[in-house]
Amino acid sequence: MFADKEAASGKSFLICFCIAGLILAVDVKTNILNSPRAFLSYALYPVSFFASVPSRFFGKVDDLLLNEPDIENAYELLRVEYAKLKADALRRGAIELENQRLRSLLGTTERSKIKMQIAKSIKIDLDPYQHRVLVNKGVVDAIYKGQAIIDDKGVVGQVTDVFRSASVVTLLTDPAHSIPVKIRRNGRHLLAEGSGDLGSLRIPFLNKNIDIRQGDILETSGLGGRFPAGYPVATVSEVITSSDESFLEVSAAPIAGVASLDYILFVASETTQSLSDNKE
Amino acid sequence: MNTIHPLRLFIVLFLSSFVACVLSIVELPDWLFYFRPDWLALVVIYWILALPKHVSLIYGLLNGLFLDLMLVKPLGLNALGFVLIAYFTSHWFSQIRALSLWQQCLLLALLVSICKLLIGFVALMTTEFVFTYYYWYSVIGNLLFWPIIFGVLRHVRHTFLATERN
Repeated sequence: MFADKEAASGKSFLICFCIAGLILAVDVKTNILNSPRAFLSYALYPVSFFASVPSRFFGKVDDLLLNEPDIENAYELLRVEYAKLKADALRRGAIELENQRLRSLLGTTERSKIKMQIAKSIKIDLDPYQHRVLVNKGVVDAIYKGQAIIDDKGVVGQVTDVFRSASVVTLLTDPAHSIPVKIRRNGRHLLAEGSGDLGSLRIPFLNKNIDIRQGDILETSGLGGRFPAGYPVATVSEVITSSDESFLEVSAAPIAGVASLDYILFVASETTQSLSDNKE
Repeated sequence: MNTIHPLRLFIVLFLSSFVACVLSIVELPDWLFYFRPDWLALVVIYWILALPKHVSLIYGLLNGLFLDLMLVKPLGLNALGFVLIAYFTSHWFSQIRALSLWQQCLLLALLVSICKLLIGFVALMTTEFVFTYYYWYSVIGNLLFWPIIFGVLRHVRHTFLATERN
């Protein structure tokens, strides 16, 4: 199979190159190769198993090094946190009702109900320059393409590929990803792009007269219908005004722990689900 | 020269590809994250350089396809680049072998960059992809890791694929 009489000839190069090109064209233009791909993915299991050994090992070591007083402390902290959140949640029902009534008075659409699903991300770096991670939830868990992903602090990214029991999440910081946001302080709508750096987002093409300051919190605006409105995304870390440019240079740091994902939440809002179903 | 057992060769090639695959998705510390070398490409280059009469372009093609499968890219994207790398390497294997290790490093880094440029352009046309500085950092990783890969794989070859010559 690998045997060849002499060093590769131009002819065999052309044949191999054409085979690769053909496969690429077929895979990009049609869905025919999706089922063979799903089948062959089982062959990946040993690779991903060995690749996740170091992170699991260091996780175990961390667990061992934690001694008992720490666990008691952590438990105590969690109890306090839980009590606070519980108290906040008591008023939520009433506020939601009020909000709905006010929205119906204003004639705006009601906010859609949101369902959450928690998952542990498998620690696998799919790419250094395209920020994507593999997550152990897929079609069987009702994950769909375009679903928003958050963690306990803010937005992490969105689902870009779904398989049977795994899905690929593209992070906010991916250079090809952008997310509609607004400044929490004044409601100004912006677009935040990934920069390729795990610690920053870019906000391009801002006029110099826009009111944006260091420390401003950017939250999802809900435009585009993919990310539900109101989740924190990033804090503005740097606003550079240069005199010879007509635009501001703004960068923002993601609030969610994009670089060190542990547990993530899949956000399914009913309207976006039906939207994406119609598109298919 | 032709004393290498085909099954033995297959197993060694398979295992070295397997290890390279694991290394290319294993979690790395943040400071190393962007400099992750293209392990699989370097392994393909080594085997074609070392055994050009036994390892053909199909080895590059299969490795490329497997990398696409693993990184959830359109199938054939990396395969295109790998076939190109494999062809260049096997076409000039005697010249490349004659170079010193550091000259090899530079030449192979250049070769992989050319292939990354091709992959990048094809990705630009077929997927959501943007060229960034970070895309090129792995070239530095390749440069630094080639001597190590070369040493390790040479040891493997001498241990498991000993020929009469050695």
